[in-house]
Amino acid sequence: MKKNINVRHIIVKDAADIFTPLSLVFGFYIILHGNLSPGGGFQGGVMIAASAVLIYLGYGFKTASSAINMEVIRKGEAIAAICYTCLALLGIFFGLNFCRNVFFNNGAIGDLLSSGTIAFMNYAVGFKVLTGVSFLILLMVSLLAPDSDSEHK
Amino acid sequence: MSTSEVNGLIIVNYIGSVFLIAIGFYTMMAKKNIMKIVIGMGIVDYGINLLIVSVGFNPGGTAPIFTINELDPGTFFVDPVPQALTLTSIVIGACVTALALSLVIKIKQEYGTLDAGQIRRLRG
Amino acid sequence: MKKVFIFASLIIFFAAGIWGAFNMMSFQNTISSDMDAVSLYNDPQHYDLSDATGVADIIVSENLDKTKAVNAVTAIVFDFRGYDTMGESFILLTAISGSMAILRKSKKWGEDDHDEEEH
Repeated sequence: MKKNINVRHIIVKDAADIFTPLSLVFGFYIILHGNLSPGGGFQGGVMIAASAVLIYLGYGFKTASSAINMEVIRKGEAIAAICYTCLALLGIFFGLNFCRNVFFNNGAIGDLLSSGTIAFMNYAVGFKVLTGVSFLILLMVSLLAPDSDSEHK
Repeated sequence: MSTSEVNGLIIVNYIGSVFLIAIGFYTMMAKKNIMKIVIGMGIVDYGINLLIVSVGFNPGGTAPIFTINELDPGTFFVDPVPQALTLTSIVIGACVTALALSLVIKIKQEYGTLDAGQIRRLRG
Repeated sequence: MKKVFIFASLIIFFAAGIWGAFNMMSFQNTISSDMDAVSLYNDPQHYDLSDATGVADIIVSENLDKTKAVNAVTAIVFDFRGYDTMGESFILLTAISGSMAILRKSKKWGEDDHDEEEH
């Protein structure tokens, strides 16, 4: 029976080893090119949060919680929300209405940093969704019984 | 496909969304297990999102993105405003499901059972 | 008896939904089909809003002029309706705070019993 459990964990661990860097790089690419191709902050954030779930599935909860510090992620999510509000308040500092694109002329059509505050709001929302979803999943998983995810030595 | 055929096929989207909402409501009303009730709530959310996106259909249009390498002269777009509002609605559905599931965890810890018929008697 | 009520209400809802779906087929489109994308990309300053049949016409016409974003959906989510996205960010914050308040234990998350013995 123990040999059976080891084989199952080896397969899951190897699959998690292959797919974690793929999801990290692809999710980062989708967040970065939010204003040029289909995608944006929400979609890329969820893709990066999938890598946290993969680490938990392959290695158990002790390794996942030592790799991802949950207090730091909790504070990072609140900082991203404050960042979004500060970017929206730039319109009031320039004398116009709230949540206005004030420097939309910094580049040609098709550049990476071309659309003013749209690109920076993309990064803020992407960081917020990334940390928020991974914190939610790790929080609910931390209440499981400790003998249901036996560690793979 | 010609334009009239594609214009007629959009009824499948509308009937599918009505079907999803009806099944979600039936699951919320008639099932006893609390996990099934939470799943029913999610299904109602998905049906409504499908209905909102299907309203903004334009026969013959492409995706509303100005990539110059793939556009021929004379292309027009579908409506981008319902797609932008559905993004927010999807995130709201996920947050409601997360809060409901954490309540289910607390109920299982307190009462020891997931049967809605036995939980209904409140303890003083 | 309760099952009869449930099935009757489901059948009434289904019939009303299908009747509404067939009526919705005869609505007119919310965006007009005579907006050329290539000519808008070549010179973004020349657009006329005189015969606009809705808000989507106006937004797609002046998208490349007011915000130089190629993706129209991202420009709508973050620039034309950025207030709704701020509200949605706060919903995520509320969901996480509510989950933390409901699932509160006496020790922090991520620590096990062997950390308590060290104190």
